Amino acid sequence: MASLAPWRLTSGTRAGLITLVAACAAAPVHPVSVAVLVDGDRGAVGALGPSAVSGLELVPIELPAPAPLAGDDTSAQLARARAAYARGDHAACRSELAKVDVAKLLARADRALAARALTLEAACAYQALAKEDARAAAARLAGLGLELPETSVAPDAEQLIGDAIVAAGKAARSPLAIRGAIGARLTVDGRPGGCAVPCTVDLPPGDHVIALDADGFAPAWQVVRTPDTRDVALAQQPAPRELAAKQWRDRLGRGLPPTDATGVALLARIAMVPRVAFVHGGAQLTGALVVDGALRARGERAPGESPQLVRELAYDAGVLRRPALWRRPAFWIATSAATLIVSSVVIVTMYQPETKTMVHF
Amino acid sequence: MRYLVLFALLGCERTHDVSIRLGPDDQSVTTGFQCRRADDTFIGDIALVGDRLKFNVVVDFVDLGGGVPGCRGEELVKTCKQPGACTIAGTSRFCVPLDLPVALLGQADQKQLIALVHDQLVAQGAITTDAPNGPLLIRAVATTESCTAITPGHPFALAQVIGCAYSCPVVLDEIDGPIGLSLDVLDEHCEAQVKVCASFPP
Repeated sequence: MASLAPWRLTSGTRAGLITLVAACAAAPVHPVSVAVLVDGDRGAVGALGPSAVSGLELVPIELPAPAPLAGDDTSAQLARARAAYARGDHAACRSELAKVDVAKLLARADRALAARALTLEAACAYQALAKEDARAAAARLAGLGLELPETSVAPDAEQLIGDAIVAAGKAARSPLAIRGAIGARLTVDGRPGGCAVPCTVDLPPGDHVIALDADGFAPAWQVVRTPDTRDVALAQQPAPRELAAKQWRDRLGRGLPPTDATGVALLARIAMVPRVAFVHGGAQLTGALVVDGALRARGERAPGESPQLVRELAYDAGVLRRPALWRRPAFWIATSAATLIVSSVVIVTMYQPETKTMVHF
Repeated sequence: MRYLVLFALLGCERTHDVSIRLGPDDQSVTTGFQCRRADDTFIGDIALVGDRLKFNVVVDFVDLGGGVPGCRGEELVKTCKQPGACTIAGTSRFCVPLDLPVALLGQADQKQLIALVHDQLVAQGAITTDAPNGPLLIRAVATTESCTAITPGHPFALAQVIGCAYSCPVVLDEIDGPIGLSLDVLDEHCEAQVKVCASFPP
């Protein structure tokens, strides 16, 4: 007669047991990576190592160094053009000036250099008997609202430019609607546009340099001709990391909060990771946690308590699950204290010590 | 820390000290020990041995069974009406022999007599160091019966009783200080009341 040994399990039972054991086993917990950007008094922040907060892997990040300024030889080109003009080599003068990108100068608000370039261009063209070119340069200078620089040019050229400025002043202005990143700062021909986009400005006829600058975006500019163009939309690319860092620093320099909506967006771009904690050391530690470009938590603690601050931020932001009440030491401390107090009160109020009465004559 | 506090609290013990006076104050003896018969003779004369008066004083704690009646005899009787409602507490009875010169008895100033009685009573030591906790009254009976005969449950031989007094009902664990004994009578002809006192509780 065949019989099963008592320890032998059917395949279904085995599978059930394995499932049960697997379900009861603690799930492996991987630390959540959070980039940490420390700012201000680092002594007040204290040590904040990679594993300072249980459940998190803190990755310190630094603000990227500002990008070195690109070399610009516009001044040298203008100096060479000026020298050529002085010695009567008007072809060389015009050749040097042809290399100067006036629109670019205006896009970066360098109106003085742009005015010098166009003045020399008008003067050199005038002396080279290219009168139409001279008038065009003068008209362009006037249309851009540039002022005649103190660079001495021939009186005829000066007269030409003066006439162009007068003519531009009399010309009817046309509206130009400008769109771009909402709230971006507008400059028109290197001068503040007086509004934040989207907005409309009135401009004299001619070419104009429209430039937009917004935190979180790379600057954008475009040359438009009025009144042919009635509206223009400038597409702005997200700021690269270095630029975002510069913009964030500049905002702090302007006294703006480091973790307002724009600051948070910049931090996210700087960190290049989904989660970034910002800790500022000062009389109090302040901090914020940004998740996917959105501010999720903000808090403050006493100096030196940066791990606790980051942990609270992680709890508030939902990056870490706050432990159940009964798993927190504070709960047991409070419960024990309450029990002790209640017990003491009960004992003191209810307890009657034994009384022994001696009776004698 | 918690256990330390608990231990300290449990370790606490209050001690009360109650002294018994054989009269309304410490200068006099209650009438209950000076009663006379109808013929005006002192009922204590049966204790005379030559020129000395020899008798024993027995102190009992009468357990009032949880009730706290008033001090008057009628109230005590009502509380202890049922047999067994009130009992003599304890497994032994305090008994101390006194030996007094007769010469001291007739004096108007009882100071010397009281001092002598007090010395002899105190020489026996404390009546108890841990009195029963509950309503009771303290009764002192003067008798010529020997202390060896005075056992728990033994009723006094009334013919040999020469004095009796008791306190008002009291819870000894709640008081501290002197407590006076007396007999609820209006004159010295109180032989009958002494015997009733000695035979209490019924």
